[in-house]
Amino acid sequence: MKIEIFGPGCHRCGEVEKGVKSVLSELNIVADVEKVKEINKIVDAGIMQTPGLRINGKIKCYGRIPKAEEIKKWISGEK
Amino acid sequence: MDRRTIFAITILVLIFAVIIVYEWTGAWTGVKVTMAENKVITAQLLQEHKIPVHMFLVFTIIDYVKHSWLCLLLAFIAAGALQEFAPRDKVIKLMGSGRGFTPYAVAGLGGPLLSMCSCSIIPLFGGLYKRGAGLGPAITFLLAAPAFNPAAILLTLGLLGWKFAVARAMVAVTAGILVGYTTDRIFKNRLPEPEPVRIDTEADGGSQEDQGFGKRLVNMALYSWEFVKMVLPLIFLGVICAGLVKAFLPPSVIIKYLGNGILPVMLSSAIGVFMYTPTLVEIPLVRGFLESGMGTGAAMAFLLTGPALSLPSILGVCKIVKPRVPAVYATLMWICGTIAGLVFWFFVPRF
Repeated sequence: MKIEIFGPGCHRCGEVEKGVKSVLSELNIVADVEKVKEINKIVDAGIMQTPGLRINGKIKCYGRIPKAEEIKKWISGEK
Repeated sequence: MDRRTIFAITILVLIFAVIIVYEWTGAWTGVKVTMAENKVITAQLLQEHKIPVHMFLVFTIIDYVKHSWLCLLLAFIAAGALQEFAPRDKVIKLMGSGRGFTPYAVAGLGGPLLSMCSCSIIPLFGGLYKRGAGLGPAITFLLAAPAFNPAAILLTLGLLGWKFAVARAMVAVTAGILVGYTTDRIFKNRLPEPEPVRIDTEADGGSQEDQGFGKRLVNMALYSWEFVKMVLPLIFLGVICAGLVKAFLPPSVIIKYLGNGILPVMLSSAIGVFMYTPTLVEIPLVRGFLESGMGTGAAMAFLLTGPALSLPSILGVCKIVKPRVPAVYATLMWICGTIAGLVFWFFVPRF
Protein backbone atom coordinates (compact mmCIF):
# COMPACT_ATOMS: atom_id res chain seq x y z
CA MET A 1 0.00 0.00 0.00
CA LYS A 2 1.24 3.48 -0.84
CA ILE A 3 0.31 6.35 1.44
CA GLU A 4 1.29 9.90 0.58
CA ILE A 5 0.98 12.89 2.87
CA PHE A 6 1.01 16.24 1.11
CA GLY A 7 2.11 19.42 2.81
CA PRO A 8 4.97 21.89 2.78
CA GLY A 9 5.99 20.73 6.21
CA CYS A 10 4.07 22.58 8.83
CA HIS A 11 2.66 21.49 12.15
CA ARG A 12 -0.63 20.30 10.68
CA CYS A 13 1.01 18.01 8.14
CA GLY A 14 3.04 16.46 10.93
CA GLU A 15 -0.20 15.69 12.78
CA VAL A 16 -1.51 13.75 9.77
CA GLU A 17 1.71 11.76 9.54
CA LYS A 18 1.53 10.93 13.23
CA GLY A 19 -2.09 9.80 12.84
CA VAL A 20 -1.31 7.58 9.86
CA LYS A 21 1.67 5.97 11.56
CA SER A 22 -0.22 5.20 14.73
CA VAL A 23 -3.10 3.64 12.77
CA LEU A 24 -0.64 1.55 10.75
CA SER A 25 1.03 0.19 13.85
CA GLU A 26 -2.32 -0.42 15.49
CA LEU A 27 -3.62 -2.41 12.52
CA ASN A 28 -0.22 -4.01 12.10
CA ILE A 29 0.02 -3.09 8.43
CA VAL A 30 3.22 -2.35 6.59
CA ALA A 31 2.82 0.47 4.12
CA ASP A 32 4.99 2.81 2.12
CA VAL A 33 4.49 6.20 3.77
CA GLU A 34 5.84 9.18 1.88
CA LYS A 35 5.81 12.86 2.82
CA VAL A 36 5.48 15.02 -0.26
CA LYS A 37 6.87 18.48 0.43
CA GLU A 38 7.65 19.66 -3.10
CA ILE A 39 5.14 22.40 -3.97
CA ASN A 40 4.87 21.40 -7.62
CA LYS A 41 4.15 17.79 -6.75
CA ILE A 42 1.48 18.83 -4.28
CA VAL A 43 -0.18 21.02 -6.88
CA ASP A 44 0.11 18.41 -9.63
CA ALA A 45 -1.58 15.89 -7.37
CA GLY A 46 -4.54 18.27 -7.38
CA ILE A 47 -4.28 19.20 -3.73
CA MET A 48 -4.95 22.86 -3.10
CA GLN A 49 -5.54 22.77 0.60
CA THR A 50 -2.89 21.16 2.73
CA PRO A 51 -2.49 18.83 4.51
CA GLY A 52 -3.64 16.22 2.00
CA LEU A 53 -3.75 12.46 2.24
CA ARG A 54 -3.57 10.09 -0.72
CA ILE A 55 -3.81 6.32 -0.43
CA ASN A 56 -3.02 4.14 -3.43
CA GLY A 57 -3.41 7.10 -5.76
CA LYS A 58 -6.79 8.16 -4.42
CA ILE A 59 -7.10 11.45 -2.56
CA LYS A 60 -8.85 10.76 0.71
CA CYS A 61 -8.96 14.17 2.29
CA TYR A 62 -7.45 17.62 2.08
CA GLY A 63 -7.41 20.86 4.01
CA ARG A 64 -7.97 19.28 7.38
CA ILE A 65 -6.51 16.79 9.81
CA PRO A 66 -8.45 13.55 9.53
CA LYS A 67 -9.50 11.71 12.66
CA ALA A 68 -7.99 8.37 13.60
CA GLU A 69 -11.23 6.46 12.85
CA GLU A 70 -11.37 7.92 9.36
CA ILE A 71 -7.79 6.95 8.61
CA LYS A 72 -8.50 3.48 9.94
CA LYS A 73 -11.54 3.16 7.68
CA TRP A 74 -9.62 4.28 4.58
CA ILE A 75 -6.62 2.08 5.23
CA SER A 76 -8.64 -1.04 5.92
CA GLY A 77 -10.80 -0.23 2.88
CA GLU A 78 -7.75 -0.24 0.64
CA LYS A 79 -6.15 -3.37 1.98
CA MET B 1 11.71 25.54 9.10
CA ASP B 2 13.71 24.84 6.01
CA ARG B 3 17.15 26.11 5.11
CA ARG B 4 15.92 29.09 3.13
CA THR B 5 13.91 30.43 6.05
CA ILE B 6 16.89 30.14 8.37
CA PHE B 7 19.04 31.84 5.75
CA ALA B 8 16.64 34.76 5.43
CA ILE B 9 16.36 35.17 9.19
CA THR B 10 20.14 35.04 9.62
CA ILE B 11 20.68 37.79 7.07
CA LEU B 12 18.09 40.02 8.71
CA VAL B 13 19.54 39.43 12.17
CA LEU B 14 22.97 40.36 10.81
CA ILE B 15 21.69 43.58 9.26
CA PHE B 16 19.93 44.37 12.50
CA ALA B 17 23.07 43.62 14.52
CA VAL B 18 25.19 45.87 12.34
CA ILE B 19 22.81 48.78 12.80
CA ILE B 20 22.71 48.21 16.55
CA VAL B 21 26.47 48.05 16.90
CA TYR B 22 26.88 51.08 14.65
CA GLU B 23 24.46 53.19 16.63
CA TRP B 24 25.00 51.79 20.10
CA THR B 25 27.87 53.93 21.36
CA GLY B 26 26.64 57.39 20.50
CA ALA B 27 22.99 56.57 20.76
CA TRP B 28 22.28 56.65 24.46
CA THR B 29 24.07 59.94 25.02
CA GLY B 30 22.20 61.91 22.42
CA VAL B 31 18.93 60.19 22.97
CA LYS B 32 17.56 61.89 26.06
CA VAL B 33 16.36 64.99 24.26
CA THR B 34 14.62 63.11 21.46
CA MET B 35 13.00 60.79 23.96
CA ALA B 36 11.54 63.63 25.95
CA GLU B 37 10.28 65.22 22.75
CA ASN B 38 8.69 62.04 21.53
CA LYS B 39 7.33 61.00 24.90
CA VAL B 40 8.91 57.60 24.72
CA ILE B 41 7.75 56.15 28.00
CA THR B 42 9.68 52.92 27.87
CA ALA B 43 13.16 54.35 27.74
CA GLN B 44 12.30 56.93 30.38
CA LEU B 45 11.09 54.19 32.65
CA LEU B 46 14.33 52.36 32.13
CA GLN B 47 16.38 55.37 33.10
CA GLU B 48 14.33 57.00 35.83
CA HIS B 49 13.29 53.94 37.76
CA LYS B 50 16.29 51.81 36.91
CA ILE B 51 14.23 48.77 36.02
CA PRO B 52 16.45 45.80 35.23
CA VAL B 53 16.16 44.44 31.72
CA HIS B 54 14.64 41.08 32.62
CA MET B 55 11.82 42.83 34.51
CA PHE B 56 11.30 44.92 31.44
CA LEU B 57 10.50 41.78 29.47
CA VAL B 58 8.05 40.69 32.16
CA PHE B 59 6.31 44.08 32.11
CA THR B 60 6.05 43.94 28.33
CA ILE B 61 4.44 40.51 28.46
CA ILE B 62 1.94 41.54 31.15
CA ASP B 63 1.10 44.69 29.23
CA TYR B 64 0.47 42.75 26.01
CA VAL B 65 -1.59 40.05 27.67
CA LYS B 66 -3.73 42.73 29.30
CA HIS B 67 -4.42 44.34 25.94
CA SER B 68 -4.93 41.30 23.83
CA TRP B 69 -6.41 38.37 25.74
CA LEU B 70 -10.03 39.08 24.84
CA CYS B 71 -9.27 39.71 21.18
CA LEU B 72 -7.09 36.63 21.04
CA LEU B 73 -9.83 34.50 22.57
CA LEU B 74 -12.32 35.76 19.99
CA ALA B 75 -9.77 35.25 17.24
CA PHE B 76 -9.26 31.61 18.19
CA ILE B 77 -12.99 30.97 18.32
CA ALA B 78 -13.45 32.65 14.94
CA ALA B 79 -10.62 30.63 13.41
CA GLY B 80 -12.09 27.36 14.65
CA ALA B 81 -15.55 28.28 13.41
CA LEU B 82 -14.24 29.14 9.95
CA GLN B 83 -12.25 25.93 9.71
CA GLU B 84 -15.36 23.93 10.50
CA PHE B 85 -18.13 25.87 8.79
CA ALA B 86 -16.59 27.83 5.89
CA PRO B 87 -17.57 26.53 2.45
CA ARG B 88 -14.00 26.45 1.21
CA ASP B 89 -14.54 24.34 -1.88
CA LYS B 90 -17.23 26.74 -3.09
CA VAL B 91 -15.00 29.76 -2.55
CA ILE B 92 -12.18 28.16 -4.51
CA LYS B 93 -14.53 27.26 -7.33
CA LEU B 94 -15.87 30.81 -7.48
CA MET B 95 -12.35 32.18 -7.58
CA GLY B 96 -11.46 29.95 -10.48
CA SER B 97 -14.54 30.11 -12.66
CA GLY B 98 -15.75 33.69 -12.53
CA ARG B 99 -15.03 36.27 -15.20
CA GLY B 100 -13.95 39.87 -14.92
CA PHE B 101 -13.79 41.39 -11.50
CA THR B 102 -15.53 38.62 -9.52
CA PRO B 103 -12.50 36.34 -9.04
CA TYR B 104 -10.48 39.28 -7.75
CA ALA B 105 -13.15 40.28 -5.26
CA VAL B 106 -13.54 36.69 -4.09
CA ALA B 107 -9.77 36.26 -3.79
CA GLY B 108 -9.38 39.51 -1.87
CA LEU B 109 -12.31 39.10 0.47
CA GLY B 110 -12.41 35.29 0.63
CA GLY B 111 -9.02 34.95 2.28
CA PRO B 112 -10.49 34.56 5.76
CA LEU B 113 -12.54 31.60 4.59
CA LEU B 114 -9.57 29.72 3.24
CA SER B 115 -6.35 30.23 5.08
CA MET B 116 -5.95 28.87 8.54
CA CYS B 117 -2.33 27.89 8.23
CA SER B 118 0.07 30.34 6.67
CA CYS B 119 2.09 27.61 5.02
CA SER B 120 -0.94 26.30 3.14
CA ILE B 121 -1.16 29.50 1.12
CA ILE B 122 1.48 28.64 -1.48
CA PRO B 123 -0.03 25.28 -2.47
CA LEU B 124 -3.36 27.03 -2.84
CA PHE B 125 -1.73 29.70 -4.96
CA GLY B 126 -0.18 27.02 -7.15
CA GLY B 127 -3.43 25.14 -7.45
CA LEU B 128 -5.37 28.23 -8.43
CA TYR B 129 -2.82 29.17 -11.05
CA LYS B 130 -2.37 25.73 -12.53
CA ARG B 131 -6.04 25.01 -12.73
CA GLY B 132 -6.46 28.06 -14.86
CA ALA B 133 -7.95 30.41 -12.30
CA GLY B 134 -5.60 33.00 -13.68
CA LEU B 135 -2.49 34.53 -12.29
CA GLY B 136 -4.19 37.70 -11.04
CA PRO B 137 -6.68 36.25 -8.55
CA ALA B 138 -4.06 33.79 -7.33
CA ILE B 139 -1.70 36.66 -6.50
CA THR B 140 -4.51 38.68 -4.93
CA PHE B 141 -5.26 35.77 -2.65
CA LEU B 142 -1.59 35.27 -1.79
CA LEU B 143 -1.17 38.91 -0.79
CA ALA B 144 -4.48 39.69 0.91
CA ALA B 145 -5.17 36.53 2.91
CA PRO B 146 -2.50 36.85 5.63
CA ALA B 147 -3.60 40.34 6.64
CA PHE B 148 -7.31 40.09 5.98
CA ASN B 149 -8.52 37.37 8.29
CA PRO B 150 -10.40 37.56 11.57
CA ALA B 151 -7.48 36.50 13.74
CA ALA B 152 -5.11 39.14 12.36
CA ILE B 153 -7.70 41.89 12.49
CA LEU B 154 -8.86 41.10 16.03
CA LEU B 155 -5.32 41.00 17.34
CA THR B 156 -4.51 44.27 15.58
CA LEU B 157 -7.60 45.74 17.22
CA GLY B 158 -6.40 44.60 20.64
CA LEU B 159 -2.78 45.67 20.40
CA LEU B 160 -2.77 48.57 17.96
CA GLY B 161 -6.26 50.06 18.19
CA TRP B 162 -9.22 50.29 15.84
CA LYS B 163 -7.65 52.77 13.42
CA PHE B 164 -4.90 50.32 12.58
CA ALA B 165 -7.34 47.42 12.39
CA VAL B 166 -9.73 49.13 9.98
CA ALA B 167 -7.02 50.65 7.83
CA ARG B 168 -5.14 47.39 7.67
CA ALA B 169 -8.12 45.42 6.47
CA MET B 170 -8.98 47.98 3.82
CA VAL B 171 -5.42 48.42 2.63
CA ALA B 172 -4.69 44.69 2.46
CA VAL B 173 -7.68 43.95 0.24
CA THR B 174 -7.19 47.00 -1.98
CA ALA B 175 -3.48 46.46 -2.46
CA GLY B 176 -3.99 42.74 -3.07
CA ILE B 177 -6.55 43.37 -5.81
CA LEU B 178 -4.54 46.18 -7.41
CA VAL B 179 -1.27 44.27 -7.44
CA GLY B 180 -2.93 41.06 -8.62
CA TYR B 181 -4.72 42.81 -11.47
CA THR B 182 -1.67 44.80 -12.58
CA THR B 183 0.61 41.77 -12.55
CA ASP B 184 -1.97 39.82 -14.52
CA ARG B 185 -2.10 42.59 -17.16
CA ILE B 186 1.69 42.79 -17.37
CA PHE B 187 2.10 39.06 -17.95
CA LYS B 188 -0.97 38.62 -20.15
CA ASN B 189 0.00 36.36 -23.05
CA ARG B 190 3.62 36.33 -21.96
CA LEU B 191 3.49 33.20 -19.86
CA PRO B 192 2.87 29.72 -21.20
CA GLU B 193 -0.61 28.47 -20.39
CA PRO B 194 -0.30 26.05 -17.52
CA GLU B 195 -1.51 22.56 -18.28
CA PRO B 196 -4.75 21.93 -16.46
CA VAL B 197 -4.41 19.39 -13.70
CA ARG B 198 -6.58 16.32 -13.80
CA ILE B 199 -7.68 15.05 -10.46
CA ASP B 200 -9.12 11.83 -9.37
CA THR B 201 -10.73 12.37 -6.04
CA GLU B 202 -13.33 10.96 -3.77
CA ALA B 203 -12.31 13.22 -0.97
CA ASP B 204 -14.16 15.74 1.07
CA GLY B 205 -12.33 18.91 1.84
CA GLY B 206 -14.17 20.45 4.69
CA SER B 207 -16.05 18.62 7.32
CA GLN B 208 -18.64 15.93 7.17
CA GLU B 209 -21.90 17.66 6.37
CA ASP B 210 -24.00 14.79 7.63
CA GLN B 211 -22.91 15.28 11.20
CA GLY B 212 -25.22 16.89 13.71
CA PHE B 213 -24.77 20.47 14.77
CA GLY B 214 -23.54 19.51 18.24
CA LYS B 215 -20.84 17.29 16.79
CA ARG B 216 -19.76 20.10 14.51
CA LEU B 217 -19.48 22.45 17.48
CA VAL B 218 -17.15 19.94 19.11
CA ASN B 219 -15.11 19.84 15.90
CA MET B 220 -14.98 23.61 15.96
CA ALA B 221 -13.62 23.63 19.50
CA LEU B 222 -10.99 21.08 18.49
CA TYR B 223 -9.92 23.21 15.54
CA SER B 224 -9.73 26.27 17.79
CA TRP B 225 -7.50 24.36 20.18
CA GLU B 226 -5.30 23.27 17.29
CA PHE B 227 -5.01 26.88 16.27
CA VAL B 228 -4.09 27.91 19.81
CA LYS B 229 -1.32 25.33 19.91
CA MET B 230 0.02 26.53 16.58
CA VAL B 231 -0.19 30.28 17.03
CA LEU B 232 0.24 31.04 20.71
CA PRO B 233 3.95 30.14 20.88
CA LEU B 234 4.58 32.32 17.83
CA ILE B 235 2.78 35.30 19.35
CA PHE B 236 4.73 34.80 22.54
CA LEU B 237 7.91 34.91 20.48
CA GLY B 238 6.71 38.14 18.90
CA VAL B 239 6.04 39.69 22.31
CA ILE B 240 9.50 38.73 23.52
CA CYS B 241 11.02 40.29 20.40
CA ALA B 242 8.98 43.43 21.07
CA GLY B 243 10.28 43.52 24.64
CA LEU B 244 13.85 43.11 23.42
CA VAL B 245 13.36 45.91 20.90
CA LYS B 246 12.08 48.21 23.62
CA ALA B 247 14.85 47.29 26.01
CA PHE B 248 17.84 47.28 23.71
CA LEU B 249 17.20 49.33 20.59
CA PRO B 250 17.67 52.99 21.48
CA PRO B 251 14.63 55.03 20.38
CA SER B 252 16.87 57.44 18.48
CA VAL B 253 17.80 54.62 16.10
CA ILE B 254 14.19 53.66 15.53
CA ILE B 255 13.18 57.28 15.07
CA LYS B 256 16.01 57.76 12.60
CA TYR B 257 15.33 54.68 10.46
CA LEU B 258 11.65 53.96 11.04
CA GLY B 259 10.30 57.28 12.24
CA ASN B 260 8.13 59.65 10.25
CA GLY B 261 8.90 60.67 6.70
CA ILE B 262 9.01 59.22 3.24
CA LEU B 263 12.33 57.39 3.53
CA PRO B 264 11.45 55.50 6.74
CA VAL B 265 8.16 54.40 5.19
CA MET B 266 9.95 53.16 2.09
CA LEU B 267 12.53 51.35 4.20
CA SER B 268 9.94 49.75 6.44
CA SER B 269 7.91 48.66 3.42
CA ALA B 270 11.03 47.07 1.92
CA ILE B 271 11.91 45.29 5.17
CA GLY B 272 8.38 43.89 5.20
CA VAL B 273 8.76 42.53 1.68
CA PHE B 274 11.83 40.47 2.52
CA MET B 275 11.50 39.61 6.18
CA TYR B 276 9.80 36.40 7.15
CA THR B 277 7.11 37.17 9.70
CA PRO B 278 5.06 34.22 10.92
CA THR B 279 1.30 34.85 11.05
CA LEU B 280 0.27 37.32 13.75
CA VAL B 281 3.82 37.89 15.05
CA GLU B 282 4.03 41.16 13.15
CA ILE B 283 1.41 42.72 15.43
CA PRO B 284 3.19 42.58 18.83
CA LEU B 285 6.42 43.40 17.05
CA VAL B 286 4.98 46.54 15.48
CA ARG B 287 3.52 47.58 18.83
CA GLY B 288 6.98 47.31 20.35
CA PHE B 289 8.45 49.46 17.61
CA LEU B 290 5.63 52.00 17.82
CA GLU B 291 6.18 52.43 21.55
CA SER B 292 9.84 53.09 20.87
CA GLY B 293 9.18 55.77 18.30
CA MET B 294 8.31 54.08 15.01
CA GLY B 295 6.16 56.30 12.79
CA THR B 296 2.56 55.30 12.12
CA GLY B 297 3.18 55.36 8.37
CA ALA B 298 6.15 53.04 8.64
CA ALA B 299 4.12 50.76 10.90
CA MET B 300 1.26 50.53 8.40
CA ALA B 301 3.66 49.85 5.53
CA PHE B 302 5.23 47.01 7.47
CA LEU B 303 1.85 45.60 8.49
CA LEU B 304 0.87 45.46 4.83
CA THR B 305 4.00 44.00 3.25
CA GLY B 306 5.33 42.02 6.22
CA PRO B 307 2.87 39.14 6.39
CA ALA B 308 1.98 39.24 2.68
CA LEU B 309 5.50 38.71 1.40
CA SER B 310 8.75 37.23 2.55
CA LEU B 311 11.90 35.92 0.96
CA PRO B 312 10.92 32.27 1.59
CA SER B 313 7.46 32.81 0.11
CA ILE B 314 8.90 34.55 -2.96
CA LEU B 315 11.33 31.67 -3.48
CA GLY B 316 8.48 29.18 -3.02
CA VAL B 317 6.41 30.92 -5.67
CA CYS B 318 9.43 30.92 -8.01
CA LYS B 319 9.09 27.15 -8.21
CA ILE B 320 5.61 27.49 -9.68
CA VAL B 321 5.94 30.49 -11.98
CA LYS B 322 8.86 32.28 -13.60
CA PRO B 323 10.92 34.39 -11.13
CA ARG B 324 9.93 37.49 -13.09
CA VAL B 325 6.40 37.25 -11.72
CA PRO B 326 7.26 37.44 -8.00
CA ALA B 327 9.82 40.14 -8.80
CA VAL B 328 7.09 42.25 -10.39
CA TYR B 329 4.48 41.76 -7.70
CA ALA B 330 7.00 42.25 -4.88
CA THR B 331 8.01 45.58 -6.40
CA LEU B 332 4.38 46.60 -6.86
CA MET B 333 3.61 45.57 -3.31
CA TRP B 334 6.54 47.62 -2.04
CA ILE B 335 5.14 50.67 -3.84
CA CYS B 336 1.68 49.95 -2.43
CA GLY B 337 3.12 49.61 1.06
CA THR B 338 4.88 52.95 0.74
CA ILE B 339 1.76 54.72 -0.52
CA ALA B 340 -0.46 53.09 2.10
CA GLY B 341 2.02 54.08 4.81
CA LEU B 342 2.13 57.69 3.68
CA VAL B 343 -1.65 57.96 3.41
CA PHE B 344 -2.10 56.40 6.85
CA TRP B 345 0.50 58.73 8.29
CA PHE B 346 -1.45 61.67 6.87
CA PHE B 347 -4.66 60.57 8.58
CA VAL B 348 -3.19 59.15 11.80
CA PRO B 349 0.03 61.00 12.59
CA ARG B 350 0.39 59.64 16.13
CA PHE B 351 0.08 56.23 17.76
